Amino acid sequence: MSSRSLIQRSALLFALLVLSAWLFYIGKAHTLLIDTNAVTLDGREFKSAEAITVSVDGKTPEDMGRAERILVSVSGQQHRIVIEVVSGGARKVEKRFAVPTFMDSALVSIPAILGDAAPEHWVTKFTAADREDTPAEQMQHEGDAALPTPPDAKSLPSKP
Amino acid sequence: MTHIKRLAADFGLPRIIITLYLLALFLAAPFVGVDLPASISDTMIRIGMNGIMVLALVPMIQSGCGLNFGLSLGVIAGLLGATISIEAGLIGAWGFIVAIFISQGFGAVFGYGYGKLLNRVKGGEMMIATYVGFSSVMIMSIAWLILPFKSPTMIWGYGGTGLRTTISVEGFWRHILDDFLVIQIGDNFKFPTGAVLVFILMSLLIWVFFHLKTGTAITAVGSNPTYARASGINIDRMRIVSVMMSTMLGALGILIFEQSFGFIQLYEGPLYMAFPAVAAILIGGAGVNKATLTNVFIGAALYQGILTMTPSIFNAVLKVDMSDVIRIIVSNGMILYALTRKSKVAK
Amino acid sequence: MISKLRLFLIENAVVILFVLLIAFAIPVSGLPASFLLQEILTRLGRNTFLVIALLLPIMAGMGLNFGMVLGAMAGQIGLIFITDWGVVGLPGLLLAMIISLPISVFLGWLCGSIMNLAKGREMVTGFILAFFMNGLYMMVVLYAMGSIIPVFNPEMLLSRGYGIRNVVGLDGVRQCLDNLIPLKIAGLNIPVFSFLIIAAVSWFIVWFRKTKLGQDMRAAGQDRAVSGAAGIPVEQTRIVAIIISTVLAGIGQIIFLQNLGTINTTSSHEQIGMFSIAALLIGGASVTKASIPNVIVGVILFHLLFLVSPMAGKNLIGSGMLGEYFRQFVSYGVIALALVLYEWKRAAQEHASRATLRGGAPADGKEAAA
Repeated sequence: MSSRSLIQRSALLFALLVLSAWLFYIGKAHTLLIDTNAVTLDGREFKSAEAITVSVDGKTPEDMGRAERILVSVSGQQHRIVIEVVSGGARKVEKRFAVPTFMDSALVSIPAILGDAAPEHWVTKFTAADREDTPAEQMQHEGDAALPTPPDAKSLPSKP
Repeated sequence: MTHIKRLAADFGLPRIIITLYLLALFLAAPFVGVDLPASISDTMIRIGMNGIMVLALVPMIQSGCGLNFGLSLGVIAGLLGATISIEAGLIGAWGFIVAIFISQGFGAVFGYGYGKLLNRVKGGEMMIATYVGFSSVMIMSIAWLILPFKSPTMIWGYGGTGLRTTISVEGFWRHILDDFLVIQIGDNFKFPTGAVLVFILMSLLIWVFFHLKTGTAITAVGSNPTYARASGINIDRMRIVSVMMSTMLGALGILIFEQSFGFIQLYEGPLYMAFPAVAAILIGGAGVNKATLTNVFIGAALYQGILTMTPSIFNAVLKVDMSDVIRIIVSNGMILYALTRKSKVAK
Repeated sequence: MISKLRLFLIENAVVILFVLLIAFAIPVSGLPASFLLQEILTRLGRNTFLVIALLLPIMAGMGLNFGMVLGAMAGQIGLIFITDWGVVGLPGLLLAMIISLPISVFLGWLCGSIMNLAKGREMVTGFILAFFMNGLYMMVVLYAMGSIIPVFNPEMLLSRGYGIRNVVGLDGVRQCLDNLIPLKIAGLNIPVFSFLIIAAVSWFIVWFRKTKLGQDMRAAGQDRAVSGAAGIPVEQTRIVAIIISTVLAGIGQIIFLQNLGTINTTSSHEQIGMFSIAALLIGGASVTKASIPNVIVGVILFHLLFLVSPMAGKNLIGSGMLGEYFRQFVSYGVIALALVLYEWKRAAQEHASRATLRGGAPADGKEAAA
């Protein structure tokens, strides 16, 4: 292999690696939990409005009251959120926020955004309570093993 | 060093690995709490069950038709024999013998047509055999649905059409050979004398056949077609004879398999029946163009040994059942190895 | 004039046979035309790419590439990874394709090298190699993933703690190619973007045939000895043909699965080779000659048959299984038929060339055979 083609190939490989990283970065899915529960940050309490509509990345707006949580699936880091306060003095807030790439589920606090808290409080990592083993799979698996097999079932040629 | 190399060349590296693997399994068995007599007994039963299917490959390999991936045609003949015999309500030895006779008739007819076809596609037999086998299994699946069978043990009860997918031969001729002169020691050790005897008997017949005029002619056709033509041998006829023999032996083989297994499997059951047999004879050292009875015996023993021992040892040691994956890799790896080698046979 | 018509009938016998068969089966099945049309559009988008993957090895004289299943495995491994990492949408699919790329290239190189060891029986070798590799694939997916290869999402694993579950849902990338450019005409959804990709790869194949490498490939397919003597690196060219085929099969499998939306971990890839090959042959291709029109006609006819035969079987004798067995019979049977026709033709040519040689025209012998 000549040195020129070696360089070409390395460049191609490198480009592919960079492309992969970029694709991962923009394609990584996040579950956003849009949350209107009141939060206390640095001793100050933030409350959401009575009735709002929330839309992330231009999706259909959803109505939310106080102390609610909705699930939104998005991909990539940068997101745009549009909050329209319906109750009281109607106003529209449009903000951008970022979700770290390796944060699978993020809690997005509406009161923090509405109350103009520091941006680092807008998005926090969400850790779900330990999920139990899904029983369906468990049962299916045990069921497989418990199937009455003829003594020589293994000698049956199934797939080659 | 050269000595070992020559041994490896003679015996074939994959076969050495497989033999060592099986040996290791047997040596490990007592230490991990696997019942060795039961395993040996299982292996013997399986050799009895599958031996004739492996033997069925010999004639076609010898005549230069290659590995008979279309053995399912013979299996279909066997299934027809079995179902017709049950339909007639024959039980016991009679039922089995009638099944054999009927299946041999079908086997001869199928084999003749199959041989005629293979004669017109010399050089491409293996792939065509595979797909002819596959498509005949599917044609027969349609036939099992619409053939006018009446026996209540074989047809679906309410709401179904045609024959059942698996038919029990219990009450007809289950274990008719396995239990003939059976040697039972304790609860765990059983030697299926009848099935093994039939296997040895058929092997003897094949051995004798290949030392008679027609048999040597078939070998000549396979090993040196030019010479065979020059000495006035009718090549096409010899090939048809070998294909018919292979198909008929396949039909007998599946009947012996069924009496031991206890069930007849219809529809897609025969689809892949040829592959384990092919893998076995290749593990025994046969090549694509040459096979001996030693290859059959060693191959059947090694292959069935691995099939019996792998799951029990792996379950005992690793608590995982990887046997299916190992079976797939070993058998297809062996076929692949044989296909990529210049046709040379191991001793 | 008459002989021309006859020639046309003989050349397209398989296609005509299937058109007649389907013309009979459609009314019997009683399925509405709008349903069939929508299904055919969907299936064209889903399967065509995979069938195109078969073209180059045919041109290189290596026959029907049963080893394309290897590429499908690589594609599935890519999809399993992006699902585990949670990369979704178009970036996810592209990433899956990039992940599959090195695996397909390696498997294709392996497959090509092994086929070079078994010249003259490439097809049966590829067929068995697919089974063999399936064993290794299962080893990786069912045993290594989650134990040696890290899997982050525990929901993808079997309850025993390692090994990928039997079904992997592709919700994140489901139909994201098909719906990238949404188009609805007369109530029919048309997967425009998938069709564009298929057009692009068809153009690639047509272009590739004209390149130096493509010409070499064709020459190697016609006569290995002559092209070797002419300085073409035959073995290497054959390997390249298989590598391209495997890579395309990997991408094709990803396109196929994004449409379906789920992977059957241990079985999605198994029948892909057989179905693609059967479709190509029904479209009028042979072991030595296949074109893009063969692919398109084949996919339409094969899938029409696939769609109508179960219902037709049910209406004819009251068993849906009849149609199921029938379509499997057709898939296997058409492959058997194509192989038989190929061998007949080859035998006839050999016979003819021998006759010419005996006739004392050695210089023209090769020409007659080719």
